[in-house]
Amino acid sequence: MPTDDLTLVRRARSGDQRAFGLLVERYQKKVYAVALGMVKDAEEARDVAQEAFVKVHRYLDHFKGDSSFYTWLYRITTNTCIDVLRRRGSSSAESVEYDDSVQMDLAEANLGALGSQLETSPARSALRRELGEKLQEALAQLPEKHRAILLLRELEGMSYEDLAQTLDIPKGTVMSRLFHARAKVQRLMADYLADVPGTKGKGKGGQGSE
Amino acid sequence: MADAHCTTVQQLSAHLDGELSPAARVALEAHLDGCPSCRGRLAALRAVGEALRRQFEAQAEAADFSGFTEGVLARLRPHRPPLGERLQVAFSEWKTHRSGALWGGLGLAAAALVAVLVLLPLGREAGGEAGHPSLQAVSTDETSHVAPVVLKTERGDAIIWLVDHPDRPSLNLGTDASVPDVAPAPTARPKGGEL
Repeated sequence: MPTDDLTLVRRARSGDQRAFGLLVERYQKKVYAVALGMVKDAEEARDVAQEAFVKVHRYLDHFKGDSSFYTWLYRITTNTCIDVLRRRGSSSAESVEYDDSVQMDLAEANLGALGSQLETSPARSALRRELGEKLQEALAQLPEKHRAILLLRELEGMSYEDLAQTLDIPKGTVMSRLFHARAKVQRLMADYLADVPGTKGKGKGGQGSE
Repeated sequence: MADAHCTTVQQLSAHLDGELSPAARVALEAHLDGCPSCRGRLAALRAVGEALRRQFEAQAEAADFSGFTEGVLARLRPHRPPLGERLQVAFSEWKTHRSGALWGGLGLAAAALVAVLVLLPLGREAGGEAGHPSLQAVSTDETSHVAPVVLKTERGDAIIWLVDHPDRPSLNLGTDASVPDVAPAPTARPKGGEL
């Protein structure tokens, strides 16, 4: 039975580097996946993921254990990613919390087409790959806070309670931020699907509805 | 229709995540029964989420993590646990082995300590079992800033450490500090092991 996180944290705090190594191995793929979604570049994501673990170790004494280790870890990870994006100058630090146009777009877009397209695509690996690239581009267009919450929810399956703790925001904000993040990704993907044969998504800037 | 759907559409996201209240969930499911377009939206939300998950999990699985952990460990500064924690560990080890000086088991902590150990009987007669350390000498460094840490044992004894801590003001023990009859009152109690 694997040693639980808190036991490993305690050992790491008393200087046991092997225990910390076990924590790194346990979470490296997940942290890397979130970092990749945030910064997009694979090599940079690896660097960011390593930096996040180094910070976690540096601040081990600040981890009080009143939240789970993984929410604390992801908090440091997303903050590290945001720092990198801001240093790079590619983030939208001053971006508006919500894009008012999103809600209407979501109401009008034929998003069912996107759903069926993605759901029936496993046999169509080329299309899936293309959709994957498009998803990454769509993510990159989200404000960093929206990107972070969407990745933590979809990749880690975090509850709203954990998301609120991790991102230090109220639960109500979690709900609305997630909605707007998803709506924007769908809108961006719906634009893309207009160019994919067999789908009925609206074209870029189009006003059509189904 | 868009207005009527605004609230519903927002709820779809929380519904997908299983975060709606039971009452809201029942109402939304009733709406979904009669609204194909909202069912389509829900399917799209789910599909995008799954696509995101597949995309990044596949990339993480395909990534080469050889040397990743080693790279992290190589960048770590030697971790210095809080003083209280180090002292607890040291005392625990000493109690277990009862051999050698107490600070022999301190490891990392030893470097931070000005070697002063006082064993005082508190409220009990001194002279416990053979092998207990007795006071041999007390010394301090006039340039050190020291602060006391009191460890009470289960026998009622107290072990008082005077600890070098350059970030704290000196306790003014003086350069010729003699053995105190009682522990000097701490100016600040250790909090969370930090002095």
